[in-house]
Amino acid sequence: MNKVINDPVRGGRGIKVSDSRGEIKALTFQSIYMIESGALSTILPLLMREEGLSIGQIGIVYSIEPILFQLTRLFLGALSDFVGRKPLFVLNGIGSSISFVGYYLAKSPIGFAAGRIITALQGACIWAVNRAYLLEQKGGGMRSLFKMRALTAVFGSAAVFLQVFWFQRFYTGVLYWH
Amino acid sequence: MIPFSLVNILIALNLKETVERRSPGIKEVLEQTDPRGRCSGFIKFIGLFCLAGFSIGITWAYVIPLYLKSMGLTVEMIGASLGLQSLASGFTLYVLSSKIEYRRFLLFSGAYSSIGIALFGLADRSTILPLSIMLGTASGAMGAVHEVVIGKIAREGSYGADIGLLMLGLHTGNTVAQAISGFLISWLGYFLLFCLSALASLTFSVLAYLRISKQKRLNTEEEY
Repeated sequence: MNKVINDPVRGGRGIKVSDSRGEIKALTFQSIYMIESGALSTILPLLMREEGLSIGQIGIVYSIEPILFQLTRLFLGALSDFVGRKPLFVLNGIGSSISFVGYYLAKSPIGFAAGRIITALQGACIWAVNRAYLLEQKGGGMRSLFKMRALTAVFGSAAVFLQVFWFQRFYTGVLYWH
Repeated sequence: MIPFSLVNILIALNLKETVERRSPGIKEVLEQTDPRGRCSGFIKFIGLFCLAGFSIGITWAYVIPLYLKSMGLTVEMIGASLGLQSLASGFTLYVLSSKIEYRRFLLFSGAYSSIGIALFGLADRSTILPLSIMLGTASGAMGAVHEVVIGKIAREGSYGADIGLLMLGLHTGNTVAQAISGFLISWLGYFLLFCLSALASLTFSVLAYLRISKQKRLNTEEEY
């Protein structure tokens, strides 16, 4: 059961303290997300090359993401303090599905750029709320943040590592883009 | 990958909400993202995270692969080294998650990560394997320091906005560092670049420790 507590700093805005199953679910969500994004970081440049994009075009398509991610993440983080964390987790899942379909169908720089925009937005959704959600877990707090970072490093690198050797032929390019 | 996303949607739908929902106005949300509305201590932490981001960006992004390449390592060996670093980092973070006394841990981890980064600047082909593992553990220790500071500074009720602002500081420092680290390599060389990164990392840890200690002292005095 969620228990509502008062927050003295924000003048009594309610925070619910969730039970420990929330931590496990959130960490599982994060691990799956890292497998997806690790895999995408390897496959996407190769896919773009396959569709005939030049290195310059790939660079431009990639450069869209970081700035959009940062700006939307801050806004979504603040928004989640009002509307809740859960909707943004859901949006991340939906955004991932849409972006994967988008990349599969994309044939031009514009198509891939649209995919990167969706990737930036869905990435901002999860990174805006994952730490906050874990800090709000009962008995979680900083230990949960450590676990989240650990899983992020392990699953992200494992996905890249495996695929790098899977696609060894393209290895040099992949390494220097990431 | 789509089945993974669908599993995540199902998990997300089963998450319990942790925030008491209310309808915000757009102005109210934007006000939350304005750092000027925060106390000066919080703004100093945004600056400190900028320094932490500088420490990361100056070496981690693309400098390490170039540094390893300059030693004559093959791309497969570079890949293996980066993979080892990341796995060691994740393992260290998991081990550190059982730490209890976070404030003292800030100094220890900060010092260890600085030593790890500086020593990596002295690596050669014969020492690259142990130093890569050490750098990975140093990276894990540094990541843990960041999480400790976030956990201590972000306030209940505005976790989303507070963490967003702190991370904005981190990524700003990171971006600036990445933009200039290429020039710094040609000016200072790799070793001094790693030393600069280590120094920035140590400064972040020490200043964060001092500020958090000061904050704790003030809070204790207020209670009396």
